[in-house]
Amino acid sequence: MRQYDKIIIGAGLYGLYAAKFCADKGQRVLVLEYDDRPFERATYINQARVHMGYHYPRSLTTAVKSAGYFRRFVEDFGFCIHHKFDQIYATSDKFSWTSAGQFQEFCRAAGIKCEEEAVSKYFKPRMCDGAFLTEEYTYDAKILQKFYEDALDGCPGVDMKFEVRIRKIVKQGKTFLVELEDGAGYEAPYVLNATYASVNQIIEKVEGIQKELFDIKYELCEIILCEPSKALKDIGITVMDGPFFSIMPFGKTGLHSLTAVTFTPHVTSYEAQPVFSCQKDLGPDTYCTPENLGNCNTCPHKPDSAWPYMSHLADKYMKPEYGYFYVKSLYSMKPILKSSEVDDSRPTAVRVLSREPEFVSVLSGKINTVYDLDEFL
Amino acid sequence: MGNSNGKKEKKFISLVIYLHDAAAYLKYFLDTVIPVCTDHFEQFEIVCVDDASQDGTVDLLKEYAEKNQVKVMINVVHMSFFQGLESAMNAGRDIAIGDFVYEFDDIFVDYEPEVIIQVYETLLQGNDIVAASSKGKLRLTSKVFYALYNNTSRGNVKIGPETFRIVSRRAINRIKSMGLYIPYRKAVYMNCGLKVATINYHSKDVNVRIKNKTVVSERTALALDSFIYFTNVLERVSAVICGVFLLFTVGMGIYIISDIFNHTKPVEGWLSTMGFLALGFFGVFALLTIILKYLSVMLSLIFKHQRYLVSDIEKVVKR
Repeated sequence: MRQYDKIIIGAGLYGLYAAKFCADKGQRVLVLEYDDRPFERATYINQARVHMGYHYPRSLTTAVKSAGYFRRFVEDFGFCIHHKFDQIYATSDKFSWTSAGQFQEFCRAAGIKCEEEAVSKYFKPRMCDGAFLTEEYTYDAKILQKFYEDALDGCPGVDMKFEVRIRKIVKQGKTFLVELEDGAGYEAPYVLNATYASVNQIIEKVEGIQKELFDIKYELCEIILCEPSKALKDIGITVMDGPFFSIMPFGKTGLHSLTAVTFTPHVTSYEAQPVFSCQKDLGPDTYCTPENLGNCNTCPHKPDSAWPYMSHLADKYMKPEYGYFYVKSLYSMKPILKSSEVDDSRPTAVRVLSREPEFVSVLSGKINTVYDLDEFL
Repeated sequence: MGNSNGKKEKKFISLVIYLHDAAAYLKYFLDTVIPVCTDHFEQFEIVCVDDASQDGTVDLLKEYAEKNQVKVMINVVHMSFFQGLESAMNAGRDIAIGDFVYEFDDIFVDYEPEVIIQVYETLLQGNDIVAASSKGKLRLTSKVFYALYNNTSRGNVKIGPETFRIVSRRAINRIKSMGLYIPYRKAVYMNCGLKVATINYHSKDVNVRIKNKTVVSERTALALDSFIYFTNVLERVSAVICGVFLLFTVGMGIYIISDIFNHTKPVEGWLSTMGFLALGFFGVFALLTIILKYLSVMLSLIFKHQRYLVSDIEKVVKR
């Protein structure tokens, strides 16, 4: 049995950020991770967008908060950020919940850059009613991963365990005992649940506290990586605000990520825990069940790529000179707070389920709101 | 059925389907269309436009998708309230992403599944719009409408009854550049200047069709609107009426003047009253003719407004 000041479950950005934050304060920290490496899931598999708030024209609070954290994140993590490209936001002429004028108005209110560009430069005639040059960057998860691996490697106070299977978490007086399937056990007066899509699964494993699950649905999402043409190389394009698409640089990889609101999610689960038909197809005794979510990206049972759909949608809007070729698809599970569907906001949800000992769960869909954790650590 | 050489078409196809209280036909329609498309097309999507259905059509659709493990992507556009076939289908076509777009105005299947592919093949032969038209007996009202329309239309291509059609992306772009609002697709397609073709088929089982009241009244209204939009029937009729009354007032004027010269005095004050009336009505009818002209100009301006309201676009999710 080992004693720690904090046990952090999940080695994504939120987990490792918290580990470093606490280690810097001189605390002894244990990080437990399901996969064999950090950053194998949502931290790596997403649009890699450092959000400035443009995405949320229907939720000014989310926008203003994103903009505030944007600067801080860019300062702290500048080494992994790619900013030498033009990020174009456009509003679709048809089916957009926000018009070009409303988008400009919104940017002014949020105090973020929004310079009008010629729609005809990027888009086919009559597809968009406005195009704007904005300030938004992309981060490279692999570089960020290297940074954290190096930083935590040299930290005497931090232990990291990979390929960990948690059996249960038991409240014992003023500490939590985290028991693993292999019989090992670890104790700490503080547990941080930073597992994103597994957040409810971990809460279910806790014994001795009042449980309250996050009201979320789950979407199995596909991010397509593609090789951009010369014209597209230094441009990111996002068409708003509705069932549209985004194609933008994917960190410093030289590739672009292609995503579409309708086609990126493949299958959805509305249960409290992620229940999917593909888990049954895998057969019994697999590493992915409604109680323990496997890694969708390494799963042999991935859905077929939605490339034909996504590329057709993008081609319908973009001028042919902005071409791109398919390279590969990445899959990950995305939990979405049901309360945020109407205004499309993405609040960081932090829940303290127990005070002494402390059990904190965090759920956030954005990388640069990681600072929301500070006050809970 | 199926392609003889086993190769599927590489083009991306969209099927836009109009749903308004059509639960009765939905299963048969999907049973017909999905296998045909799966056999022939490598990639396609289905866009269902739910025009405020009250009979659970959309639930049925979701059930069907889940029960049959439908692989193809299905999106549902929910219209905010009942807006009629034309607006709804405009919305559906705007969201479709295919190279070629099928428009199923009606999901009542009275044709062989092969017709769906015939239409596509005819399109590939160099047509931009290909319609499938039933040779079955037509309602008298429809006959009168098409006869009247085709005789007075400003365009030169004749229109007829159509069950469904396929439209190329080029044709969609063309009609978009003609004006943003499309009140009656059939007429706009036929007048867009691109090559059009029609496949005729013998319809079967037409008698099973149940009439839908809202749809019937909407069609009547649409027919009247179409006359105003695309033909000059009403303009001509009103011009003739104006002309007749104008002539009548002029005749009255001549009669009064001749009375003055003949010094006939039927009743005291009759001449001055009638003279005033004749002059007044002359003015009114002259003004009406000008106003009519103004109205026809304004009509073309109104074309430029987008006129459908969508409440939601929903993807039929897989679990």
